[in-house]
Amino acid sequence: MIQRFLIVLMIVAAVSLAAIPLDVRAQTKPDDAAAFVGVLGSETIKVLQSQSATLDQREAEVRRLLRENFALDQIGRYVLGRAWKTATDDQKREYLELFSEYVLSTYAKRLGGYTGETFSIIRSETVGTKDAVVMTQIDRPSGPPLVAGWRVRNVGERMVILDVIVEGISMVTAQRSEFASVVQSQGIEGLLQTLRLQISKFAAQSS
Amino acid sequence: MIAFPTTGLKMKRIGRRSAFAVMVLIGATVSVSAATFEEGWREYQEGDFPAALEIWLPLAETGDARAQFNIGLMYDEGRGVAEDSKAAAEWWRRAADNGSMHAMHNLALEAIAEAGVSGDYTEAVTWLRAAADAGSVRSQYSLGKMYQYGLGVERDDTLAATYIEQAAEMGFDRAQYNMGKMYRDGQGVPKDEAKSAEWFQRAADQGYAKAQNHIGIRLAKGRGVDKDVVRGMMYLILAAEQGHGAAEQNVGDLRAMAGDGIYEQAATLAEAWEAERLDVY
Repeated sequence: MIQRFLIVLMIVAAVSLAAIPLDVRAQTKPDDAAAFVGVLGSETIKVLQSQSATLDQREAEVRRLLRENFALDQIGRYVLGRAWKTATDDQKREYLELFSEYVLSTYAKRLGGYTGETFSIIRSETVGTKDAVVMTQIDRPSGPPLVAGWRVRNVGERMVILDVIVEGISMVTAQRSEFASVVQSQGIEGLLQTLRLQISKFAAQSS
Repeated sequence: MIAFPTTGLKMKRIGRRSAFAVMVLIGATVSVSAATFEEGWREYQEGDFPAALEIWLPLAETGDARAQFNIGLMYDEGRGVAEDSKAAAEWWRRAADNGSMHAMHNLALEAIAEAGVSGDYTEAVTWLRAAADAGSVRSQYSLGKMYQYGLGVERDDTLAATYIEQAAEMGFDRAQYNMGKMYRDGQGVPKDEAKSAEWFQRAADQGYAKAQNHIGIRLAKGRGVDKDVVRGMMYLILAAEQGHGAAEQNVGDLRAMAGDGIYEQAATLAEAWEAERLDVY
């Protein structure tokens, strides 16, 4: 299962994201990328295991970690595809705000709630000419382990995450395809309207 | 057909089930049901989602809208179960049938996502209207936005402003921020700089970053509000701390104009500042 996943992962990773416009000085070293993901993973697990924090507080902290370590503007720009070139400055600014909100709220909820998780690095290797992909396994108290790949780029002063790949599906590629359908159907203003409306989902109710 | 995960029973849950059965037998059904939902909530808050699911599932199957809604959300977010948007929608429909405005609203958002490609927003408007009628303030706001955009309804800026202002009056920060913009632009309401500033201020006080950026600039310039550069800088700092890109830029620009002394005063105020959040449904 993991071997098949790795093959799919490498294909997806090789064809996507190479075009993300980020200053790069050299090929990201796999060991450096693994160390970066390892530290970030440990920080996240520490947040999740905090006994004193509420679920909202844990999610907020995970959200902060994601915001600090994801190259959200660059990912957002890539995800919008060709529409980026024709968008006005105001549209670009609002789109990046909405995209960040959309990604952070989605992933903070998906990663931010669990307790009792453990996290390990399976392997790390170069992909394309700029990046490294770090394979991780997240074990939960119940259910099957979650295998996730993190595409990392060294941008000089620090590392940033460019994509998350779960079960062979690149978050960025999937999102790009989804947004392209909306833009094709309703233009960039239609996409902005949809995003504005979609960020008000109700969370779990206590009563 | 919804596939439910199989989870191993822990001893504490076996005990809980036995206790439940005994109390049902002695006729204490109502009080136990309420307690059991709360127990599920505690497990959920602690991050033990499979345990929460196990507690809520029997309640959901017997028509508890709260449990049905929360299980729908767990499928939607892949918490304790594999992510499954169809299962989420199915549970939300059952909760909506039992009057859950939260489920109606989330179903509307699902319909909006689908309509992004199809262009048909009829179902989304139907759910939003139902949720707004059931008391959901944020659905009232979203319905206003549908009128503002002309999605699934004829575009009507006045009606849009009516819905959004109602949600703003109820304390929904995003609606308050929007009213700030609408009074600024004269969209659906007469142009009014003072009212615009007032709405931005109310949303900013709840910690809404975009509104903090707007009121920060207005206070710094004295636009629609008495000039107060220190407080203006404070709101800009607060917005920047939340990652608002334009606010970060504005902090730098205003600091260059007003000087480090003003910045230091504002930073001290920002450190002591606390949001006055309103709990709005």
